[in-house]
Amino acid sequence: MTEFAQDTLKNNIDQPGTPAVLRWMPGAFLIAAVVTGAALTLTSKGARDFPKDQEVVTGKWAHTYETGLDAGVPFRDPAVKLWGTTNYRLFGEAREGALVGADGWLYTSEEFETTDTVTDAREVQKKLAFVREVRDALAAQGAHLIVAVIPAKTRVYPEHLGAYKVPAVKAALYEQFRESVTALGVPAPDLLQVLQQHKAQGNLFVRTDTHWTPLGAKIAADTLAKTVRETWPTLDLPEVSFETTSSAAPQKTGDLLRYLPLPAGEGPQAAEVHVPTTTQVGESGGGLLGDAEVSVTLVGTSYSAIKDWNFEGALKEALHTDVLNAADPGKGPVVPMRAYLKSQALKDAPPKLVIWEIPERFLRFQYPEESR
Amino acid sequence: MVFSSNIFLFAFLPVFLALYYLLPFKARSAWILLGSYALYAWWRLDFLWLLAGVTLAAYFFALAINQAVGPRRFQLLSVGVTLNLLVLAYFKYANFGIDSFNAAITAVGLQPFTWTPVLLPIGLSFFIFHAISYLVDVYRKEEPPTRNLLDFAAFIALFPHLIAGPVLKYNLLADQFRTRTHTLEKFSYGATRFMTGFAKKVLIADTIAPLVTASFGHANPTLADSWLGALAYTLQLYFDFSGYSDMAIGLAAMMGFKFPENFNHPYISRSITEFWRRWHMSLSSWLREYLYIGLGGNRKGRTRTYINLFLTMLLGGLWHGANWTFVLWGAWHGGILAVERRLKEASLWKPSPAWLTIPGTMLLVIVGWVMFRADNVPDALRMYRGMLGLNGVSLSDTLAWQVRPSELVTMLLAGVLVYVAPWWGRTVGDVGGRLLRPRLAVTATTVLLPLFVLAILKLSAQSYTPFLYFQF
Repeated sequence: MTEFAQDTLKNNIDQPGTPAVLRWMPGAFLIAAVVTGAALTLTSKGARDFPKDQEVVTGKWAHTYETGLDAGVPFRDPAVKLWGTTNYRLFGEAREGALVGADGWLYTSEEFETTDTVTDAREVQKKLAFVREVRDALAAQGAHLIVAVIPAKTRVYPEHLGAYKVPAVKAALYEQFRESVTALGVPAPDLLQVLQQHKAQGNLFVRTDTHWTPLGAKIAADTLAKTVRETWPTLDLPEVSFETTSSAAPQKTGDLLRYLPLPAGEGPQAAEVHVPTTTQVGESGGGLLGDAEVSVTLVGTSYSAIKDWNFEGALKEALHTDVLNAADPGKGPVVPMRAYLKSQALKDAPPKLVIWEIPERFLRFQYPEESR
Repeated sequence: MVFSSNIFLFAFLPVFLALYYLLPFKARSAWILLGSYALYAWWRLDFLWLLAGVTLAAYFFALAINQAVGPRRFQLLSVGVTLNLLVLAYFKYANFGIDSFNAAITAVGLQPFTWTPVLLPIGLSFFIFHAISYLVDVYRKEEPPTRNLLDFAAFIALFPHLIAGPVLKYNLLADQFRTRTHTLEKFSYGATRFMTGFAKKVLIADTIAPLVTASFGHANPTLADSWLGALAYTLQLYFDFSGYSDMAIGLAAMMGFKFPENFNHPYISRSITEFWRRWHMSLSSWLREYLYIGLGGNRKGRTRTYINLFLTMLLGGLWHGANWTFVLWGAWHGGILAVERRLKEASLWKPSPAWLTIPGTMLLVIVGWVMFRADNVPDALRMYRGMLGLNGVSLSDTLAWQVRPSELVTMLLAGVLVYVAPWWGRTVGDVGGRLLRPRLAVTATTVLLPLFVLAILKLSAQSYTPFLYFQF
């Protein structure tokens, strides 16, 4: 079939007439590059960071060591910045995971991702089945459940997507899920419609972040409180007054900027947010020892857990009652709820109401911890 | 430990080369063996015994074959080759066999056979082929068996080819283990090849990879989706694997070894027969010498020749991986090779212009690559449906947002390189190797150096880049 190419392809470098510089320059350059890289790599912290409790025989120790070494090489950050800048300047791209829209807006690629309609639908069905499970488990404890389905940022702000287009198969996802939750007898107000109606008041999602703004969180909290009052008019929540003040100085924010490692002043600039703080006003209703009973629990993701958005505070103010925050960031909506259902807090002091925040962007994801 | 990693580039390589050049020639085989075993053990220490075991078995069986006379020679060869094939069968094909068996029995309502999956040791396919070729060569008396176990073990384990080839014959390197030269020119040549391969892998193949993943992962790819993915994979695979081969050849040259070429501009082939003279040449050479000829080659009549061609590629396909996709890919190529042979023998093969035969051959190659890349046969069929336009024509919105301009530009540059490189070879150096345009060669080398640095930085930015071919 073939003959060895060494018989037909000779090394130019061995032949007479080859410029002298080719006889030494590549070799010298490689040595210089490797020696410099070795000096930088082997003196880095990662090189001295030897893993503990890892199996050597199965290669796990080596893999862990190598991962640490890669993360610790001193040229990694400049390399990330160099390639980030190059890709942004030449192609207007962020690193994989974020998309650069128009007008300085960034979006997470999670809001565009689809596997296929069958697999995605199956995952959404699993989420719905879990909603039913949660509803029943809480009902057994005498607690009501309300779900806050947070619409995707792309859905609320499609006008800044630039050339990107969210796949059409996702068009009905928000409404379908919300209606399915409602059909289970669990109230799930249409936050998308409400947020769209309030866009004129200011940004409801952070331009350079995956999350909502404190204003978006407040509008959602007000809507949820209204739904609670309409759905369970006799629900007797211990009355506590709260008021919210915003920080005078704005705070720069934007988790999506991590995907755009650019020199200062270049590319979309971090959005600014006035971080609100909610505090109790006056005396609480008081329990046996003067502490107010907490009858509302908030379970959810980073939308609820990150203090800067003040969703918890906005709920306290809107519901006129204290709220226990059991949200856990970075694990999707299912894992924190599973943890809460197993928690001592639920057993010892079951609330009257549980607010479960489920962002639309997590509906098709299954976190590894969910199966545990 | 892959070549395109910080640990290889900035820890293993400088330490290995520094000591290699400090040691006297006599100690270098031992150092190569030690270094290569260390590199293998970095993946998993507990599989080093397999590499050492295959080496020892091949060494002693070859000595026994050489000493035996009459039918005993063939018996010993058969046992030696069978042992190697059993190792390959167990570690590489047992899971596939059990899975296929279970699929068949569950289809008729029986309970599946329970089985703990076997882990495939990296480089297994390559060092088994090295061992088999050595035994067959000794049996055929093409090469006397070596009595130097150290050199032989160093040959089997030689790290530039240990993990992903090229597939070599011991007799190609036997003399080089006994004596070889180390010159600055040779080192520089090796450095050039290594840096070229590194840049091909990191700057081109790795950049295109996400687009390939997105396209092949598409549930209902349109005509544009599937062809974009198929073209991207065609380029990715070539730059990944030929880049790896360049690095292997370069590393060997830095140690004074001369490896055969593994690629010779395969995408300018004008037939599938020619393609296999240009793609993964060391494998096609091995398949010809030890499988095709072993099956009878063209000595048993026309029909058997076609069957042998087909079977050689079918088994060659299976060698690439334990999956029906590889079997079908091998059958595709084997079938075309047989048809081309038939057309040639019937004098129906007329010389056609390059503008017709090159795209025609590429079409056949790309269709084959889709099966090669797909995770399973239904996935490949899904891609084929897309390529026929059965799911629509224009780029789908589920893929469109994932297509990055940098990927398209890289694909374009890669495409240009594929067709400019052969012209460049003819312009800058003729087939005898004489430089026709020394200045151009100097310019190209000067451009390569910053590209290598950029590739190192890109590697660091992306941290980890597994090679496609490591699964084989």
